[in-house]
Amino acid sequence: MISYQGFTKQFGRVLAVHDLTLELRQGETLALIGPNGSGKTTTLKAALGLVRPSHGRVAVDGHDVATDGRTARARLGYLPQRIAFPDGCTARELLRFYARLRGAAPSHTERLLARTALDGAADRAVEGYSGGMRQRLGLAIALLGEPQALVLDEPTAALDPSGALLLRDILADIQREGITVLLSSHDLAEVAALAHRIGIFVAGRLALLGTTAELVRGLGVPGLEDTYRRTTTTRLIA
Amino acid sequence: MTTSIVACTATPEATGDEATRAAIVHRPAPMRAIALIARHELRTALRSRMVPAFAALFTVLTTGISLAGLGASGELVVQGFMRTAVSLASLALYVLPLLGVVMGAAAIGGEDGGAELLLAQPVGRAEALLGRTVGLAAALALVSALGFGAAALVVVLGAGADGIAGYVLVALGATAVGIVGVGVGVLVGVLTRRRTAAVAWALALWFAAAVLYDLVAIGVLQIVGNGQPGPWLVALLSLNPLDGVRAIALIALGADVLLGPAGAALERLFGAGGGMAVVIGSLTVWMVAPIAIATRCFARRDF
Repeated sequence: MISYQGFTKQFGRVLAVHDLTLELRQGETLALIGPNGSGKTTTLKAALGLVRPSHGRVAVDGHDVATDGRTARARLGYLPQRIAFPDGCTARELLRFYARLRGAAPSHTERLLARTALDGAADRAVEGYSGGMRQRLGLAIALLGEPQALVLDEPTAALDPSGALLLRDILADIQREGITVLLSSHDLAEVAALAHRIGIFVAGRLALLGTTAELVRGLGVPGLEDTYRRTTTTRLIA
Repeated sequence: MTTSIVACTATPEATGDEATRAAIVHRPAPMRAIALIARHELRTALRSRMVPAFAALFTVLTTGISLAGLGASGELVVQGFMRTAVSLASLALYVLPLLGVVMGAAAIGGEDGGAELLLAQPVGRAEALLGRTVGLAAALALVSALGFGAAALVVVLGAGADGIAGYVLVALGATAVGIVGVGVGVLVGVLTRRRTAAVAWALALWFAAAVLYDLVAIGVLQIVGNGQPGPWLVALLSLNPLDGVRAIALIALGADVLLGPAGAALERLFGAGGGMAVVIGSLTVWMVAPIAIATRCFARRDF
């Protein structure tokens, strides 16, 4: 569904991601974890063409993001790490705007408002929204147009426990519908609960990739936390 | 450092929903995308704090100017279109480019999730930037229409419609320079990573074009033109759209009457040799070039 072939991104002298080859299958949830600045967000953004590869290729459903970005993006929904909405707009107006861009019917926007528990606040200006409501609105926008895959950059970061739980429940529903999910997170418990596979990034490289069980077994450690600790510490020292 | 990949076997089977999703993938046509984004940007601009504040200030100033004439016995009377247009030419050619350049820089400058969210949709980067620019330009045109329209209403009711053609030309010229400001602001926003830096650069450019340029132009004329108006003056006025439009407006309103010998010289220079066409051409280039450069840079930018 989403494939990276030798994807490398360099910002000036900084090598953000080095030679990443990775394939996400349809219906799979892949979580990227790793320290800040390890290349997770750059990898996510490359799937949408927000970051252009220095080398290599990124494709969505076979469409090269660099040369056929609009077609590739039509298959993806995206929730950015820091989401900003213009002042004065309501959730319903924003959803309808993005729905028009994606060719989604107005009834779809109403369903998404209900699904993300925003139907009661749909006509309120979004600058009055809490962080959790903003994230849910972002997720509703990401779900417009029935995307085949979602790209979620730290979807539950900075949310209170109830906000995070609500968002996690919505994500679980999304997974059941067979939508592919590529997400980044710092929450290891969340990742272990949601992801079919986990990729650990260290200093721009995909150091480990596999299911939780495979990662734990491969390193012979008791759990994901220890796997993460050992991988990131070893790689950073190396 | 080598990459260790642990083999993965656990991936879910695809569901029947995939075929449905694949079938309804939608990409808007470029012109429709530009129109949708422009409309959204216009609505956003009109609901911001800056644009309505500028609109209110500009309208108060324009109507104030239209009322600011003094009658023979010292009472306040409504000015005619010509005198109002002369006064507004100075005001609007400062205010509208200022609004345009700041609006463009503030809207496009800086990194936020809003820009990322828009660019993550099935639209091209050029469409996204053009749509936003058109929306901002429309907002500026509305501010201009409101200010000039309110003043025109006052003049028509108080002094009649005589001389309205020159007034309309000033309004159109000032709006065009404001739109040039939007384009320059958008370019500054594209080239700048932080919104505050973008707005600071925008203000500096406006100050350079509106204030410093005239001082430099006078100096250049003294050095290379011996202080005499001639081709150098035409060239200098053409390089700065703000000055070019001011010259056109003055000629339309009767430069020789307004400015005496200097105005007559201006009229002679611009009336002959295609000076007017040069200014209009320069204005067109100034409207198109910043957007074209911004679009090119925007397409290469990482977010």
